[in-house]
Amino acid sequence: MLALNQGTIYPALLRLQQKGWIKSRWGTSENNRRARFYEITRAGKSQLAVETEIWERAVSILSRMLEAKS
Amino acid sequence: MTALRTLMAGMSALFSRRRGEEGLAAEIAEHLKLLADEYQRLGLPADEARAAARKEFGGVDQIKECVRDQRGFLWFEMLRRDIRYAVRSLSRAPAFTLAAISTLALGIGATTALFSVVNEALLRPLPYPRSQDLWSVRAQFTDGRVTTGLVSPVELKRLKEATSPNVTVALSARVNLTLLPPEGTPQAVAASAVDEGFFPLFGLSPILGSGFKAEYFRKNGPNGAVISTRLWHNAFGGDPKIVGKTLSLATGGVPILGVAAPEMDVPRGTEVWINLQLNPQDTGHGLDGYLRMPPGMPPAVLRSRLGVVAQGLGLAFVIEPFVKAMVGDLRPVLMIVFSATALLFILACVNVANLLLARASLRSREVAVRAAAGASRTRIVRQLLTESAVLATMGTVAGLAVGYGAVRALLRYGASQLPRLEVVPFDTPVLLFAIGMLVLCAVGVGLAPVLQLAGSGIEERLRERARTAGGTRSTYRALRMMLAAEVAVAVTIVAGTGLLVRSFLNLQRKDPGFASGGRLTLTCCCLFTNTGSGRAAGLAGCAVHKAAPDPRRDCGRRVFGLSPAAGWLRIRGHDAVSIGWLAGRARTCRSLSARGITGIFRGYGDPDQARPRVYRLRPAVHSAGGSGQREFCSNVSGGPRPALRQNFPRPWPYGPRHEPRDCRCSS
Repeated sequence: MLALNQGTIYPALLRLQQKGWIKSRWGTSENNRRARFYEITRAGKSQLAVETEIWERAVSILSRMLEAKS
Repeated sequence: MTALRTLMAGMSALFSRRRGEEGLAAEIAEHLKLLADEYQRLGLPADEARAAARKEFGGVDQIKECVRDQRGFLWFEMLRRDIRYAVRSLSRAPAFTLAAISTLALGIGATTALFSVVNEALLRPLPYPRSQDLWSVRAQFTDGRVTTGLVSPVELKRLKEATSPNVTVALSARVNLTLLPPEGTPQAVAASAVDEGFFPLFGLSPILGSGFKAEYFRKNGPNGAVISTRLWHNAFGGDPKIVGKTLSLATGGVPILGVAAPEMDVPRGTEVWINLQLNPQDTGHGLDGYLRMPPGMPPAVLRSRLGVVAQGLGLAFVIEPFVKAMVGDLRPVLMIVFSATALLFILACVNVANLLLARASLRSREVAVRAAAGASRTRIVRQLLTESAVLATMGTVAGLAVGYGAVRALLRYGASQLPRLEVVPFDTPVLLFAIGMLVLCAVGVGLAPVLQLAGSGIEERLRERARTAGGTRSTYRALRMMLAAEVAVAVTIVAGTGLLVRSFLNLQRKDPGFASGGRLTLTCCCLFTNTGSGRAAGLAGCAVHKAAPDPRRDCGRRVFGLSPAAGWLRIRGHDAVSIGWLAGRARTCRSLSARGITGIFRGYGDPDQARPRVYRLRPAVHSAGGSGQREFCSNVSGGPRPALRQNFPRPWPYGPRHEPRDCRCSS
């Protein structure tokens, strides 16, 4: 399973936020702790759609290449 | 859109650094606490739980650095740090910093000052539409006779015939008028008589009134005047209903037909334009000629057309761009001085580079240690360049102040009398030039130590440093090279200055064809008000200066028919016409005297004007040579009324009603 530590996640979240694809706010979590909540924005959703499509295309190309090889 | 958002986020992070840092610290602390709680729930003691949490979380400072790099503009952050480091480093060596900044300030200041003058006089376009198509035209005899270059009406007619309809031609003639304001002192105004094509040629419509109409230029047509915006404000208080009112002149009143645009300044300094009714058959050469070519017409075409016209007249027409004609001999002078100042700037740069090199030899260990601590070569180069850029910036700021002061001083000490240099603004082109100098200077000055320090390896540097007391071998080599360059530039400047001074002295020694020692040229215009009848008598006069006449080379006597007797100049009776001519053209008067100043005056509107008079003006202090001129002028122009009155003979020639109010001199 993929494990990322905070040092990797934090700058990545900040980058996404700077691009306007996510937004964040301070709030209270379920177990009553202060926490920072991130949510995707409309620009983020459309970007996600674009990135997903690119990803799927890449995956399908790679799959086809692997199938052809086998 | 995303790029814009990133830019905005970066900008906002730049301006809210503290808030961002606080938020980051709080968030990391929360995460650490969350993780520690998790470990505590699993059964670890509090201390161990916190340690485990920190271990899992990773290096807090690294994360913070990573976020900082991501948050703002990385390059800006690094630049900020480099600048802070450079300022700290320079403040540790105040004597060096002061010497470098002063040197650069002088070099940049002098060059910027000269550039602002060159920009104003030579580069700034004239304020007339399509000013690049404006040309001045002069007539020259081809048989070697000396000419003034002025054009005659006959030639104008031929010019117009040969070049119309594409090329427009206009003429003007300078005249001196005495303005009699409704209240206050009469004043001499520079005026020009202009022909029909003059205002349309320059393309600036009057800001008030319609200006001259065609009938004003027909024979026996009405007379009128267009006044300058300056005169409109100074003499008439910017009266919006000025058009149609009468302009009172000593020679009579003329209706004001308009107020010219503020930019209109042809011929230079003109306050009043009057209509010139030309006699097309007149062959007198007394007019300045102007041409406007159609867009895109090559000057060679015009020259060939003018050549055809000139052939039949036994002369040649010389055309040159109007801006060049306005500036005249000032262009080469400015270019020479500007080149000399550019050399001075190079010398200043080389000097500072030398200082930096000498300093670099002392800092090589510091650089080596920094490199050993992990600083990359790029980082060291960037830091050294930032240091020189900080120096150059400080030098440029100080240089701008020096340049501004220098220009003001130049204008104060007479440069404002030169064409196109009435005002020399410190505007955008000058600031851009200064920024260009800054960049040149930062790179030029900083490159030498950068090559020196960042060029060789750390090991070698440390080794050489240990072996030598003052600096490395390569440092000495670079220093020697810089010194040679510095000496070369300095010798060039000194040699150039020597040649200029020598040329100037040679010019001064050149025989002008008459005894010039103790002679001065001077135009004096004295103005009087007839307070009794309201009618004013304007006096235009010329003071001549003579005591030891040289009978062979007495140009004044020869030209004006004056004869000296007992230290006075007397005028023979039949010379009244000469004196009238002289009074009207006071500028042409040549001074003659050495010990006394004798004024020759002719009164306009004075019943006794036919009889010329001779008056003696004694300056309080007079010394032979150039300085006497200023003393005379200041004495007359600035002198209080009683002092002026004292200088005139008794009885006062124009009666008690004609009081001297003002007397202005120019030379």
